[in-house]
Amino acid sequence: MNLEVKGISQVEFDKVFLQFYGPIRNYIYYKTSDIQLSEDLAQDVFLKIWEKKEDIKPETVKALAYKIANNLVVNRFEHLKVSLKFNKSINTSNVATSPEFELEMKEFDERLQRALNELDEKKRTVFLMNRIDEFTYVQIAETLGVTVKAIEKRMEKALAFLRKRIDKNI
Amino acid sequence: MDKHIQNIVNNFSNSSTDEKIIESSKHLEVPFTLSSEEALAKLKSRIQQGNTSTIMVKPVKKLMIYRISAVAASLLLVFAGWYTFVYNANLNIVADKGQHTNITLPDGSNVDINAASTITFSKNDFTSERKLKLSGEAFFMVKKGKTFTIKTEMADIRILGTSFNVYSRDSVFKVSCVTGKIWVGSGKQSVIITPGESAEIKNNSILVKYTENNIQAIANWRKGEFNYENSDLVKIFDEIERQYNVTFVLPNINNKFFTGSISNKNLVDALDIVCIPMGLTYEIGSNSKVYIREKSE
Repeated sequence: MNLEVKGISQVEFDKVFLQFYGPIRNYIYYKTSDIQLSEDLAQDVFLKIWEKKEDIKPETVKALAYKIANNLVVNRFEHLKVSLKFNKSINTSNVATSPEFELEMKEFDERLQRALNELDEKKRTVFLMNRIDEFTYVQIAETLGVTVKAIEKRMEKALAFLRKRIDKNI
Repeated sequence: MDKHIQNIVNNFSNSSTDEKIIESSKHLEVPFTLSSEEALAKLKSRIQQGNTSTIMVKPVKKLMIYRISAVAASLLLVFAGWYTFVYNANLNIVADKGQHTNITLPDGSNVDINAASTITFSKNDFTSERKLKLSGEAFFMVKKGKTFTIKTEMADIRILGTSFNVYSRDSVFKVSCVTGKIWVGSGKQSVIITPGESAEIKNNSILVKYTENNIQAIANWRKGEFNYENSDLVKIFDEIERQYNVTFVLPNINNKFFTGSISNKNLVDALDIVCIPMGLTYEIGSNSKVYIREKSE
């Protein structure tokens, strides 16, 4: 038996899974807007990692997962139009709100979601990874294998695009 | 936390658009159906069942069907199909060598399956997700509806409702569209083909699309006719092997090309049609072996 520690153990795999399954599934969703497909493909991403877990260095597993996810998606949906739908995760049940606020929030959300669908894929993905998955620019840059500068640019442009769309619609 | 949210509520109306975007987008949530824990459990059970081959393709369970006669075999096939249907979530439809078979899928789509070809799909999931795996050759008449996905060794095909032929054997992959519109993707490449067009993978990697001279002839195998235009002779002997369930012992026939039509009705006729113009002789031996030789001068 070879005792040289290489690859990731089963326990580590579970940890990696629980940490990155959500973000990976979300990442695919940002690109495809098909939740069923996103969950299926996220499974396949981790299945591939499972199969190769003996050969994977723990520090590269995250970038690898995104790379596999990206390959699976690119293979299928190069030019699909997306229609993303999101649930609202903010819980306002314990605070004082007004009907005006609820309405304004809801309207704004609809506008935001429409604008997100019109945003191009690269900017949308980066923007949502930062906002929903709470990745820092550095983390996004690492997972996608691009420079932090590029991420800053995409975020800036994404925000500018969304602002323009939303203000135009008011 | 509540205090933070209260702040958002109080200040929302007075925030700039940018602030609103930043704040609102943070509270968006992907409408997932499985939690991470459930997904992990699902993956674990998949791994335990050895269900790990490829993307969404479940392992193929072989059906052993002996060819007593065409009728008996078909009966057996129907029975085996029913048995698998009842006892196994994965349904395998096999057309053995020397047979063609036809199946109506749960959504009403119809498939003619050529000899030595297999179709696999999940009995339970098919109605919710029209997806199947093909190895070999088949002609599909897809009922209009949700996306219908066919996975093959080398490429994926997605359609809404149409009729078309798929050939996927060894390193040959070809889709020919008769009606409707078809999306074909392999690796990073994808093309959309319309009636009269085919998509084919050339040199093992490049996906090309072109117009067929005679699209109807592509699916003539369904009538037991096989048309060839300047086709690799080896490919034609392969097809005869599949149609008549024989095995050839071939000389070196690389770089020989055949144009003509053969049928699956009579082996001797088919051999004559191919061998005479190609300068070959044949001898039908025992055990379904057929010996092909170069004609001596």
